[in-house]
Amino acid sequence: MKQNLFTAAAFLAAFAFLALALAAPLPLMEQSDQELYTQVMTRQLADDGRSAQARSNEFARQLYDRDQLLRVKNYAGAILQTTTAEIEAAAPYRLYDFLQQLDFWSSENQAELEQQISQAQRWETISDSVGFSAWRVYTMWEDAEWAELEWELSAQDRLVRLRMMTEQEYTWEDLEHMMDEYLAATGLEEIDDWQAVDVAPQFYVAEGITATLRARYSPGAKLYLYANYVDGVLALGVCPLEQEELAQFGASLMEE
Amino acid sequence: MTGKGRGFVRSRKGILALVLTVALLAGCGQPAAEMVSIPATPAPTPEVSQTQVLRSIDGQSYYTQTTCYDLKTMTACDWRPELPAGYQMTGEGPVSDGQALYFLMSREGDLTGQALGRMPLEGGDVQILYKCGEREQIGIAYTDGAGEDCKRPVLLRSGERRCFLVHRWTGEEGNSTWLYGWDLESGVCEPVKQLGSHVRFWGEYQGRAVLEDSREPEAGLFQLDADTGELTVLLSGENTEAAELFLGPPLLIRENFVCMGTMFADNPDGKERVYCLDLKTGAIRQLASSDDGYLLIRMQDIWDGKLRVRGTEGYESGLWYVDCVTGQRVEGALADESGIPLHIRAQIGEYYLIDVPSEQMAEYLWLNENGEPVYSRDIGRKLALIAKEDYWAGQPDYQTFEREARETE
Repeated sequence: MKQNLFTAAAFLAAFAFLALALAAPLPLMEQSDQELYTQVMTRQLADDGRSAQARSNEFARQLYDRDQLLRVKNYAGAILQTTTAEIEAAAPYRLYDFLQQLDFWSSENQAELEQQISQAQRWETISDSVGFSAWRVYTMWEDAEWAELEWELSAQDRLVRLRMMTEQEYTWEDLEHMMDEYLAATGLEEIDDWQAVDVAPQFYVAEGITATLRARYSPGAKLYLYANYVDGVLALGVCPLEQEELAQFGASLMEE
Repeated sequence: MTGKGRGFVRSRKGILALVLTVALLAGCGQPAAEMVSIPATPAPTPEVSQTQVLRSIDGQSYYTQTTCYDLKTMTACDWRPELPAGYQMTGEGPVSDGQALYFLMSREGDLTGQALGRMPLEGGDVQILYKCGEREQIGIAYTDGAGEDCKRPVLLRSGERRCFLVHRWTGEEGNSTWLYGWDLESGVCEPVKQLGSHVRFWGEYQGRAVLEDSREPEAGLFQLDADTGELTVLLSGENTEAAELFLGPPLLIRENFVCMGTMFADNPDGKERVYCLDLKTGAIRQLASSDDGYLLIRMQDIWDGKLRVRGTEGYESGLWYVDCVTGQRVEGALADESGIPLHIRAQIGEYYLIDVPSEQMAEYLWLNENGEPVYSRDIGRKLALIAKEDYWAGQPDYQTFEREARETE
């Protein structure tokens, strides 16, 4: 009996020693971890090929990080899920607020947009983990045909993409002007290496149909900005792309 | 890696926990499974096809629109010939006669601006052999494996001449199909013969093109000798039973088999059926029907006397092979995880070129109808070479192509 008690005591002593030995450095580890967590992670900033100017631009950084680090790609609403959502009363006003900063956005444009939204029959929406949200609205166009209106905003309500049917025709000068104002409104004009892109429709354009594509690319920010008017549809947006990816859809930087 | 993941690995507590977990698992684990080495399929010695109908293999390589698969080194590399200004390649890719590649081009956004291009295998400028006029089209077909969007131009070897088909439709003179010839030495391209009013290429028999004229009174199936332009009758209206079935609908002709499918709307019982005519024996056999479990039955391709059939009904679909001679299902062909036999693209001697699933997702960027970049992801596919006997025995003893690093400009 005495021997059993001795064995048990020895076991407990050994266990207590082991527990103390393992627990002793924990406060030090805690402190060290705290320091590590609060450090600025410079590694990813150093080798992504973007310019310092692009890295310091908040919107450019959000677009790029969302694409490259979180692998969230939502070009042209590709991941917009077909989930019917309740109409969010505030959603259109977030879009209106952004558009009203732009000179090219006329009162006629605004009336057209509001009419389409007011006639919406079905809404679809999706948000991602970094706060970007996209909406698709099925609406009646000119009381005769169904149309889809789509837009996407960042967490700070900067427009990422807009696609809408419109009665107004846009020339290439209008589209260039639209891109200038868009860059100013989003703060992307701080990036000074935007270059014109040579891009043509890769789809069949029937005789008599207007298809005007305008685009710019920033190698430093790795962003592709486009403003298109094709057969009564206006499409304006920005998305992250590697320069080599331009060739995949037949686009290339214009020579200066 | 996300910020959260990186934080865990950088945390010392995390590292300690990781080390202890690994040590624990190492002690409890089963012995590692013995590695099985699969003997690699030896690269074949490709043979240049000596049939009149040119195929997608040039003797050394298989080409798609953008990639060249070298069969000797089992490597794949980008292939983008510099096309004449304003042109883009159309169809699945080129066909080859062992000296040059021939492919179809069109002007961007202009469906009438078709042209036939030629580029020597050793490289060099793309030469336009023929430019279509208004209301003209160059004949295309499934010259190798059939499938979706796999059509290539129909090119026929005739000594030093390369022939092709031009379909012409004019309101006043009616439709016509012409055989054109381009001479390798003189470089002259000229019409050889008008073949008929409404002639289509559906495959080859004994190495020669088989054409169908579906208009009465010339209706029939003909074998074309590209050397002479002569048409030999394979099936005429006199054989009423066969003519009723096989003259009219789309056909699939490989080896000595002619297959066709009937549509449910044309059958009083609302069922679809696939029939096969054996050109050697004249026998007609039903190879598949809606009784196989699917309402819609479509023929896809024939490889070594076995017809690949696709059945669909609603969201359900199935693919299987049927022996053209016995009419029996062929069991045990190499299939993917869901039991679908792997797609065959072409044959090279005793080997098949097949599509195998890839672990990697393929990513695509393209412009939608509003000119916006669209990003799509799809299950990737890789090309592989497999001995025919392994394919039919279901042995996954294939060799894939290594992707060559893209050359820096």
